[in-house]
Amino acid sequence: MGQLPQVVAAGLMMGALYALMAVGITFIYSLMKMINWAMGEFYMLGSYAQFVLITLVLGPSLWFLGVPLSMVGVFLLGLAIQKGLLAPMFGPEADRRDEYATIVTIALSVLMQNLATILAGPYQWSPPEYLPLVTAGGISVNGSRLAAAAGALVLLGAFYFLVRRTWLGLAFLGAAQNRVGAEVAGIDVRRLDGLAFGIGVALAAAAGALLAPVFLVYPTNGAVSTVKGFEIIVIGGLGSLTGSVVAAFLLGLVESFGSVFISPAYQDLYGFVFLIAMLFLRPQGIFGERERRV
Amino acid sequence: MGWKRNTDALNAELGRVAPTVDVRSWVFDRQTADLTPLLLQVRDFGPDLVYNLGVGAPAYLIVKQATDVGLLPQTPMVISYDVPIRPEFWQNLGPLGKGIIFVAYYHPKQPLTDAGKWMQQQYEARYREPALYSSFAAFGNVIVVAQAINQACSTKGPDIVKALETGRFKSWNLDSATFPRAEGADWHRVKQPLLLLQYTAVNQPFDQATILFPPEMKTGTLQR
Repeated sequence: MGQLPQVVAAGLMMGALYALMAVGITFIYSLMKMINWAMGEFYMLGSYAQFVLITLVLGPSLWFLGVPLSMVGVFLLGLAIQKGLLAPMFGPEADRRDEYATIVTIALSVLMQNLATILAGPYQWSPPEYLPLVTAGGISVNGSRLAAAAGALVLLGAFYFLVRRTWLGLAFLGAAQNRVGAEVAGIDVRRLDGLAFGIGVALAAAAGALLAPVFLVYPTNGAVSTVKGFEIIVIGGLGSLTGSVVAAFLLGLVESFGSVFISPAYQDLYGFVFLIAMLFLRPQGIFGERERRV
Repeated sequence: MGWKRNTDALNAELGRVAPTVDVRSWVFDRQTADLTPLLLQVRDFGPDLVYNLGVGAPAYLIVKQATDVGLLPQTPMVISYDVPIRPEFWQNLGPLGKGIIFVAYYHPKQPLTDAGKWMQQQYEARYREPALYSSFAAFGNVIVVAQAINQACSTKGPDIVKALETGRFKSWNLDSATFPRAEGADWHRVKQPLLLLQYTAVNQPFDQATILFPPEMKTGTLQR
């Protein structure tokens, strides 16, 4: 039981970072009604961008500037990808949008992983630690992990403000609730699609940038985070931003407790067990609502 | 279940050579990035030595996260392969890399054959970093097979195998490598000299790492 505070701290910190990924996935899904299977690769791009910025441009002391710069870079890339590859699926001639989005984003995922391997090699890299080890109340926490969790909370707060307190956010919510209705009200939903995709992938990039010294930088470092993100959005309720945040923290805690009190060998399995249990008990997710269709 | 067979075999062998040693192994998914809960268990076990069997990212993650939970630097850690000779090792770990012990099959100060010296020079000139054991091994395989083809005077598989089983070959580090029909893991295998090295200073070059083992190459003692 002496491990309990450290286990809870580790679970909550991981939860904050999972939340960034899951909110990004949910945000894109809410507006575009598509799953971005390349989300982990945007996480990977964020981590590489942060590594290059810190080691070659900004220096270790300005690591906190690297995060927004990485986000801006990935946001612009996301805009370009959405406009070039995904916007056509909303055209009048487009058919089978789900299949289109799935094929395009999976292909994008493979392409980005391979490009990273070609350009940067298969090696693992780490920028310098953001902060030294922090010891408080008898538990030690990696300073970079603490900084990453704090950064994730700040970004989640900023995202909440954007969505709930700005006109742009209200337009996003309106388009997510009723795309045709929003269009009728004069909102350019095509433009919102691009922005939503850019913001969603920028959140994934932020997670990658924040975690670069903790979980390292390499071509396949985003693969697991994508899977976790999808577990979370189903547990939280598809399309629910609040559900994503709550489910992310729950998943972090479930993994930490399962690893310590059952076995660390199955750490990635506990999330799936949690997911299956949730589907059995509450198929619509924690904050999801049952739909009736006629 | 390969890992279980391997850990069972390791425990059986350790039970034979060191029956009083209490060995415990922890298995994790190689995709897992957060190893903190596992390392808390390792810390609470109170080991005298940690053998880090992670390959690739997990090898680094274990070092970093073992420091976070207070396992390092108090407890010596052996990394199971020569990842510390990679140029990014010090970039990734910085001061955490000091004191790390690692297994290697090559050291710049070890004797090489003429072919091995040629390979070492070519590699360093082309890639501007120390040559790696894996590169030497691949190079050695190629030149051994070429010699076997010459000895067999044939490019047919069975003829080459027969030549390999009966002949003696110059490799990158051995003048007389053989591939006998031996028992178990030694079947068709040339034994490489295993080295245990330790970094004793931050940013220490690979060729200055202390050689702890084998005794005939030893350049220092374990530093804690």
